[in-house]
Amino acid sequence: MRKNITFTLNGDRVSLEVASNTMLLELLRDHLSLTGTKEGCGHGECGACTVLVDGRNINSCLYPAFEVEGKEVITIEGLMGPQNELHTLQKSFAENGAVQCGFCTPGMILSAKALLEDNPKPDADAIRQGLAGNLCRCTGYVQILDAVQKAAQDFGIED
Amino acid sequence: MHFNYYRPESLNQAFELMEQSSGQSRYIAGGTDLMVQIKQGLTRAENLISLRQISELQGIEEDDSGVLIKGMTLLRDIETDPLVRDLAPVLQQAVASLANVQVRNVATLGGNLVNASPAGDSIPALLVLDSRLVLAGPEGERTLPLSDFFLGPGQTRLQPLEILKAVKIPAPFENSRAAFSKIGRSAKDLALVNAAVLIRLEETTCSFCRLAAGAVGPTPQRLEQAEALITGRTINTELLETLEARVRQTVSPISDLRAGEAYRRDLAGTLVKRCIRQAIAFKTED
Ligand code: FES
Ligand code: FES
Repeated sequence: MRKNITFTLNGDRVSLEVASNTMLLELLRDHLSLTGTKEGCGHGECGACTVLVDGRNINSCLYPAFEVEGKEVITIEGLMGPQNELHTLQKSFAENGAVQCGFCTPGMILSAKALLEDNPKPDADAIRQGLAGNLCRCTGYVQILDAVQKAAQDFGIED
Repeated sequence: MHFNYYRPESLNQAFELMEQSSGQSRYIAGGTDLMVQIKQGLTRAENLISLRQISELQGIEEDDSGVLIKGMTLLRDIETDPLVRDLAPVLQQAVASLANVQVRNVATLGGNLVNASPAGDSIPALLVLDSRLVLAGPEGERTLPLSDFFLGPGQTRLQPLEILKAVKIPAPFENSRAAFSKIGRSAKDLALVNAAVLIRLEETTCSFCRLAAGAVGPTPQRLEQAEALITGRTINTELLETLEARVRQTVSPISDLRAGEAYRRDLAGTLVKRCIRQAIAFKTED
């Protein structure tokens, strides 16, 4: 079974045909070449595949592509500004040494974005809760928590 | 992994799709469990009928007897809903303990119930709240107590075409307090054991209570013997210790990869006691 789906991706309208068993992750990486979104476990455990759908962070590896019909999807590629300037969170991750191999980073940043939009001044516990679905197997969690805290404190959140 | 995927917009369309589809068909809610099983080849389905587009299954409302939560309400929305905070805070406590934000942003209350995992975190909380379920089928609706819904692991009283439409939670009666507690391998993991308690105290006497626990038998369950033990008695350390021992004796958990049977028994006793302490502490704080 195949169907045409239409949705907004990083601000642009996209329309394409996909198969009924395609997950959003596969749609993004293999059909649309947006490889910033990663596949870790493929089973909803690690958060490497996190994207925002209508502002909520979700695991795209378990999210059927058919379900994004009419919705707004934001991936890590959609965070940069018009002149390719880094988003506050991206800058903060870079400046605070929160990136080691970088595999978990796109998911971490998108979960952090969803968190800060809900709660612009999270305390340490709220940050931990907000990022609980994102595993870093380089285990640089302290720097990651710092980066989110600093992004919230120093810059405020831009968008 | 091949399947057709349908997105009906009404209950009637969903029933029709289920009735007319040939081969193995399943309704799917948020899919945080079912989709994993399908990807891993543990469950096969030729047709998945998604319930996410059905507006009759969305929303949280106040009704004449308390609060009504529609089946496809996201766990994340329950966690942050002001009406649920007022009328059923113990459910929020249970739901917030489940997995992580990404999962709670797609997992639904109906999915957590219909999945019928012995460890489903919303279930003990809804059991102590004496919740009822509204099930919808092509012939109409019926209501049944949550305590009658589960038949065994993954098994419920839902008929093949039926869909869990809503959960009805009665408003709390005066002076009652409730609490939920769980232990997993890590804080947000699947529960090794979970428990919930609702208790009404008059001075220090328990005049009414409901106790429930999950992952200590084939279905989450009320702990009636333990309830009888403390009802009408003064709650003190000694009674709580007797209660703990009673819970340990009456539950019938299994051993699996996550925990042994004896450990689960111990946990059940501890958690029920902990819930009561928590619920009572809430009261004295006021
Ligand atoms: S790849 Fe989706 S949660 Fe791990
Ligand atoms: S930086 Fe390597 S997994 Fe997080």
